[in-house]
Amino acid sequence: MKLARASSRARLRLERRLFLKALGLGLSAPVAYQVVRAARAQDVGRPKRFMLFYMPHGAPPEHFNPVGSGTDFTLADSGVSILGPLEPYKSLVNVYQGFMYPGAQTHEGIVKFLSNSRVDNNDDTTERTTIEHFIGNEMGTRTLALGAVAQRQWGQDFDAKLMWDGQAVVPQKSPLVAYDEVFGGIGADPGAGDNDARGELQQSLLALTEAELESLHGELSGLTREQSKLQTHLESLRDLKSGGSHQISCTSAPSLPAVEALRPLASGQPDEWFYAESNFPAILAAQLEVAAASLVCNARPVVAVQPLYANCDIDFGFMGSSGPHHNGLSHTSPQISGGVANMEAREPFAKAQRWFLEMLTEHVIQRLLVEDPADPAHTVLDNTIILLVSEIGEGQWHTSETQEILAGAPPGIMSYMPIVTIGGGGGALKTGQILNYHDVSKPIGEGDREAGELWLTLARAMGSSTMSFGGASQLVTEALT
Amino acid sequence: MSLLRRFGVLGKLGVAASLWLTALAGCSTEAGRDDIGGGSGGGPDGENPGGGEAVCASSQPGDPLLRRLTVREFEATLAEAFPEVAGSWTSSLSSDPISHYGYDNAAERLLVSKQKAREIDGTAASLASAVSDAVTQLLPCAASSPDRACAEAFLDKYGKRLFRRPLQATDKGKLLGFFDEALAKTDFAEAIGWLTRALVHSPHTVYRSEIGVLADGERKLTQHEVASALAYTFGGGPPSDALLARADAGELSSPEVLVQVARDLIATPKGRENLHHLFGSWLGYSRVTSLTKTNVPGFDAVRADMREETRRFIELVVFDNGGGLVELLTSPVTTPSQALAQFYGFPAPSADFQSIERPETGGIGILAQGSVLATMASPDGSSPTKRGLLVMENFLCRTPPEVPADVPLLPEPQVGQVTTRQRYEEVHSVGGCKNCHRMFDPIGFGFEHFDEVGRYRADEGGLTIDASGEVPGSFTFSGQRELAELLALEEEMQTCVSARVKAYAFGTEGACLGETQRVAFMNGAIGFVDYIASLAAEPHFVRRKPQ
Repeated sequence: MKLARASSRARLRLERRLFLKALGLGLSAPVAYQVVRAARAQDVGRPKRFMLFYMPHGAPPEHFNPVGSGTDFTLADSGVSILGPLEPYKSLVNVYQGFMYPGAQTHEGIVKFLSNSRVDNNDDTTERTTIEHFIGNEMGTRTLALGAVAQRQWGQDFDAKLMWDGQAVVPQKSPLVAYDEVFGGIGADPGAGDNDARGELQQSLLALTEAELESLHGELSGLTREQSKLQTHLESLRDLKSGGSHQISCTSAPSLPAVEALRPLASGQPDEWFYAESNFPAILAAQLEVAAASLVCNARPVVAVQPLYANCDIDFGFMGSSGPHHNGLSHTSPQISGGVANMEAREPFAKAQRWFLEMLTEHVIQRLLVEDPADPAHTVLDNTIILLVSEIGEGQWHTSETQEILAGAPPGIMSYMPIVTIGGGGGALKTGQILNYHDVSKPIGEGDREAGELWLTLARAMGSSTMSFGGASQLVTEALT
Repeated sequence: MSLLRRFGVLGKLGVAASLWLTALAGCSTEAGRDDIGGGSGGGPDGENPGGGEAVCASSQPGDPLLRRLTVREFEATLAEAFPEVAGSWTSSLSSDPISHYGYDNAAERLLVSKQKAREIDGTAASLASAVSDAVTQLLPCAASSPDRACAEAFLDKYGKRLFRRPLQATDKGKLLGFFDEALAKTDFAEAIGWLTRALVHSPHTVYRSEIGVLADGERKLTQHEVASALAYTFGGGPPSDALLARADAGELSSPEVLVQVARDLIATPKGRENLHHLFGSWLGYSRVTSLTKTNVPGFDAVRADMREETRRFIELVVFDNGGGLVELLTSPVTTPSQALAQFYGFPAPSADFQSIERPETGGIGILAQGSVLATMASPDGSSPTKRGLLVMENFLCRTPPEVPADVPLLPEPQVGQVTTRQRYEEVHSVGGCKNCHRMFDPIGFGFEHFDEVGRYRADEGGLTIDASGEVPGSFTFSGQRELAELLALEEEMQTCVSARVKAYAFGTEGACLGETQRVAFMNGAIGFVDYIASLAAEPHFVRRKPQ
């Protein structure tokens, strides 16, 4: 369902339908009203963009947690301050605390936490959709999925399956291919007539294939599993037929320094090159610039960037934290010295995680601080939501919910799932706050809200009118305007 | 994928203030970290299962299957259908999902997702453009009579290659109807391009059909389905025109003929490459080229040679000498480059990748290959856990239990102070770690005379190495050589590996599919190539269950 722009009368009709629908779901009237209010917040007539950014292996909370609470906080006073690069933009930052990933355990949670799905922990085949692809589908656009060494060389195994659109999505490994795919057609003018003919033939082609699939499906009567494969294929083909639409604001392909620096090195290279850890920093920089330009140009208003995969052991010596990222850096224990947290013990890991934020800031956030071509009164960042997540909380203990770390050292440090948004979501997000929902009186796993409620909230902020996501139906209303 | 990844939490531990104090008592981070190629998903669960799928009294046909071509198969199919435009088009296809065996050809996992549909479209468009540009080269009639009849000639030749069977009248009718529409809107060359796109998109191209025809209560695969099965299973690519002609003539029926075709295909360069893919997926040694080793200067320069060494070793043992399980595990030779031999401290071969006899201390068989030992190690040291898990999961099909969520840190190497074994034993033999690590660490200790890049070491920083080990419930041993020799005799290993081999060949883990020569392979009467070729004679190769 897409929330179209509506006249006042149409808006009222829509809100009444939404209210009745909410009641129909069993929500109380006050809660149903909140649903309507949330929907109203979304439709402010401004362009919206979304970006997912994954940071593997969690974060040491003593270096991650902001100091302060509510709207009075700093991101730059927590040891290494992993979120420190966001301090200049914190009026547009929300830090979410007290959320859990239901049933997602250890790094295996990577296959389910962004869909809030409740499949078995080792299930990497059941269909699901992760939040960034859900938002893209709701917006009628194809999510641009980019990766920087986002899988092991031999294929997409369990650790690499972060994004799902029914089936697992393989992020585009080459920034050069991504650039050409996103910006290659800008400025080209093959002639309207030719475009119409090609469009018609493409539709005829897909209709022909669709008919073949339906015919074959019918021939396989009784072979349910094989018919199911064809059904999946049919749905995929229909998605291809429907295409996607959005208004591109750039009139020429952007010049991206990191992409151009990579081009002479990467051109003509085999797949192996794009999975070599020595190339990771350059690939990530280029992918982030492609992502930012996609958002600015509105060429692809929903983007996801996956640097690395769970359990990766790339040596982070390139940025000063020598050692394999998973085994060596993330798996360092929290320590107490003299009754307080030993801040030095996990500095290398903290610095490695801060590096991700520095990359995001340099190559994306700063580039979004431009006048939005579709909304000159605001910046692109004002109209964007960047969602920063990790598949676990505390790197050593593999948490999937809030846990108290270093409880023996007062004050105890709470490890929350690292979830941060940057950007205003087109006016839909109430920003510049820490939102903490953890109930300390309850046992571990019972004192948190499901992350799916936050994903639902972000979907609604992006204009979806969905009433639930991954089984979650409650909104984080404090995050919405 | 390592089975260590199939873990839920053993139970949320009481994460009280003492949680961090358990760091020294709990499991280390070694367990479950990094996969080791395929896991042992086919085996029964339990504390000490093993052997994978049991041997059946006789072979039976399995389920009918629609198998989506893997990316490798798809690209090979397009390339071999249109050799005239080689190098003029690019594939947009991204990686296939990997099964818990480490294979990319598991039929149940290969679907056409939304992403794959778009990638097929992109690939089809690129190929179509190349075909359009070369139309007069592909179609002699394109110059003289660029019309519907010429398009039909295109379908007869190239459509047959892509569909791996002659096109039926209904196929042609619909495709030519589409061609007519394209010709009306473009020109002949471009219309042929659109026809190419339609062929590439077609499910008859995208899927290998192993459905058969239902008659008299059984499904019998058609001649062309058998041709496809032969070509992809043993040659890694589509059936050639010659093989399709044999299918046209109905020649692909007798088991003897099928096995001979299988042998002929295996003997081709592509056939050998296809089997290399099996070994690489099963053992994971290809990953050596992407590894870094913190404390080993010069490793970067030889890791590609390590991979090539193992490929040449398999060529020698499996292909050239017809070796089987015993030979793979216990061969006393290896095939390093000269630089790599120097790196190991081995005698130099006469030329790069020529066979040499391993030194007495240099280990034996595939489990002594530098690529394997380096891959099953940490960046900064050897890893008894990873090496033990490799044997446990990939040679014995034993399933380790779930890994708990909160595994504390393994202490860093302390060269000259404690050995790796001592470091691992200190952490893994106590508390919650013990129940898991006792299943595989004792196997891995047998490799301790080999460092993190597979070089022999007499001692570890001056400390005496204890390489005694145990395959729990089976045998004890001392050192890698004895481990390999005894493992080669283990029926559990033979059952496990034979199950893995036929799962790769058939693209499914179905039971009782390849039993006729399985015992002969297990007991060493025949080698890998003979066993794999023999699968062409199995009932599953030509028949399927009715439903």
